Amino acid sequence: MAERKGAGDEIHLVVPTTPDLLRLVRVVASGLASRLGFQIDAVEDVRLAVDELCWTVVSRVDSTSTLAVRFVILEGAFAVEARLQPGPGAEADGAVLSALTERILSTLVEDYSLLPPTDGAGAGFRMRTKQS
Amino acid sequence: MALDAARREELRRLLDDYVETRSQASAARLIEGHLPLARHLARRFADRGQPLDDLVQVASIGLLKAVERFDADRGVEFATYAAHTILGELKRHFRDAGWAVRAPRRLQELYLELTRLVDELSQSLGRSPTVAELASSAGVTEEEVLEALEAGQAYRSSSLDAPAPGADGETSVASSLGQVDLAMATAEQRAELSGLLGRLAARERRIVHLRFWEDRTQAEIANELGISQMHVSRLLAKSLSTLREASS
Repeated sequence: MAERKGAGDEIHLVVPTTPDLLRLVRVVASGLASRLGFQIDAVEDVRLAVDELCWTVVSRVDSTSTLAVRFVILEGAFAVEARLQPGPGAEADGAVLSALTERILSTLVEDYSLLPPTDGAGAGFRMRTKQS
Repeated sequence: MALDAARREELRRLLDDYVETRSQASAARLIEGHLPLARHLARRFADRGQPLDDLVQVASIGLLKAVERFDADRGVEFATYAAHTILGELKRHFRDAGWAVRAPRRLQELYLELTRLVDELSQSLGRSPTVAELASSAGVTEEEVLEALEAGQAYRSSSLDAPAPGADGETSVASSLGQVDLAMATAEQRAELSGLLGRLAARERRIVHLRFWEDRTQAEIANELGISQMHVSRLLAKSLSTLREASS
């Protein structure tokens, strides 16, 4: 499912939006953080942030949808961009961040935003980790 | 756990009262009278990486079952029967419910080993260790460390719900929110935050507050609360999961 592209600075992952498979997004994120030499608490921060954002965008769709995730390795950090691919019958409505989620994410990551649905694609998110 | 004669007599009286009436009030008094026993037995499992508060709750469930099932005609002392039932509940908790997603034993053990190593290395390095440093100290690969961390986040007690708002009486939700929110949140957001954070137990609420409102590191929080950094990490993950479920 994971694909390494070009110079090896991007990883693409497509996972069904079920909790047991969404954890793969978290696993890849913590693996990347580890490769970049993040300290253990920073690895945990990345995992929490990815969990929070994934949940925000998938919480309103059923398990027929998939989440396409792109990890981009930067200098001492990495970015994650994810887009929902709604399953048949699922509505591609937008996701909303609660005040609490905003507070949590602003502590955990350097930058984050939600991506509104577009033609053919559902809502998504973009985040960038802090520097290792 | 030695009991003095007066205490023993009091417990015997509570038991007699319960056996005679089987009323809810007498059951509650009997449970309350034996809570020190439940706490004592819970402490025996406190080195297994689980919060003592959670273990006390599990032990209390065992005590409740002991009271419900006790048959005085069988000639067994209630305290003996209760201790047996409480220990059974605690062991079952670790065997069945401890790892919400069943992880191989080697990962469970590695996770507990990492819990110790993170604290040790943090002390010697003056900062949190990296995954590579942990792997080297534990004599395993980085992938194994990551696997154990992932499994460790599943190491939770799904049967233990957060207490009702205000039930613990230690930290009010309002004080958890802190002054910073007055400027940050609208009244509506503030009410929502208050309601959500009230779903957490006092200690978890405090950890969430320290991490996300005071921007304290996991290591700093661990120091302040006298628990391991990995424990803080696990409680944070558990708290955020609880908050997500509560807000959905």
